[in-house]
Amino acid sequence: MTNNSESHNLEELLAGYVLGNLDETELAWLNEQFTANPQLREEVKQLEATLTLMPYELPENVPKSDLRQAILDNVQAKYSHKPRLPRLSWIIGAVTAFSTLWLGINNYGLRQQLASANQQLEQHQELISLLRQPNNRLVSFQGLEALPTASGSLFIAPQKQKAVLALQNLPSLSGKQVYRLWAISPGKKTGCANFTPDREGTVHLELSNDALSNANSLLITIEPEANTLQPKGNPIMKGYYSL
Amino acid sequence: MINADVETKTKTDEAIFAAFKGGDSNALGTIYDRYGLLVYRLIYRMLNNSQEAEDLTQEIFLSLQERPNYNPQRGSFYTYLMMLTRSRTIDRLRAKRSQGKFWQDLGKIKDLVGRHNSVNPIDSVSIKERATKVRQALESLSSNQRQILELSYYEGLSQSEIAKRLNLPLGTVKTHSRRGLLQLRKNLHNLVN
Repeated sequence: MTNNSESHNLEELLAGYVLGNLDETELAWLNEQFTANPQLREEVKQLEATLTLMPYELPENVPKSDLRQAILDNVQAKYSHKPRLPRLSWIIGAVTAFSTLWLGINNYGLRQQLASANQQLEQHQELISLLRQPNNRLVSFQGLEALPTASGSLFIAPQKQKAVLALQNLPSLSGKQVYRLWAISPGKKTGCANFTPDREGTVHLELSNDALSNANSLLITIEPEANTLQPKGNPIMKGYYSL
Repeated sequence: MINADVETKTKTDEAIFAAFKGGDSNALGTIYDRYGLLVYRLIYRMLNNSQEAEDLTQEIFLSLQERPNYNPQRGSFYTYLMMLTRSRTIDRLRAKRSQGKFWQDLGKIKDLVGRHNSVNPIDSVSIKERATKVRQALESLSSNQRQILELSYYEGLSQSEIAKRLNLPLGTVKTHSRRGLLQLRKNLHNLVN
């Protein structure tokens, strides 16, 4: 470092930088010098190191307690508690927790499926039981002009006093409207059931109605509300006994 | 065992800290033997309370384990440790004094923690020898230079606060502190390098 006025000024500013007492203009100028001459950082490091030597001048006070031993005891305690095992055990714990949760959810799902399968099995067994009955009758349903694609069937087991209605391609209805099944016998129309299709337009319905066994034919109408005593809407499907 | 002790004593601070970082907890004892008292004395000087100085000394040494941020590429371990100590103690002072503005000036010094050369300034000289040299170096400064440097370093006062306290113009305070530090570096050239 030369002794001209500029370098003298630079040195003082470097000292001011380390002491943290530069104003904005000085700092901006010095930053330009740092950019132009990265070696100046070495000067800064030396000044910083100088400042940190100051505590050597301090009176030779000593701690009242055995600070060295206290620090080492603390460090040892942390080494014995902290190392990787707890971290590993934490990971294992987390994995176990997530696995348990996943298995729990999975188990719940499986139980639901099992319950559903059991229910289906019972239904199938019941259906088989129905099919085995003598005098069973099958009614075939076909959509009329308004619903040409609608179709389905009604299975009637008179001895069990049960019937199963299955329909498809029925449009959903609005408001209080319902589909209604009517048993037609000479001089009489008996309302047997109200129903609405699911989202896919299908109907599965189990019935128990004596009127079905005695009917000559069957009709399905769209009614403005449930449980009408006489059909108010036009027939949209008609059933024919095929067995 | 004796050979091991001799070997430890001849190791650089940086090598000892690396050993500590690698899991050798006894290496911290060596670091304490070298600088523990200086750390304690600096804190005691700044806080003027022996119990607080002990607690904070312990805290700083334990922080070396919890957050071993020292990077040898950035400077000597000693400089890092002392700047860390001063920075932490200033934080403590700040909490105690709960003042605002002048701490902003200190921020620049605090930010310098960890940015030092890799020279170990005090490898082979005993603490007492170094203490003697530092005292002599400080005695060679003008009384204003020394007083201003000490107020700035130990009490964390801003230059304007020092100017107010000593009833001196701000420019004069700045000049004294800067020239004082430059003189100190010149006097301690051998220790710094």
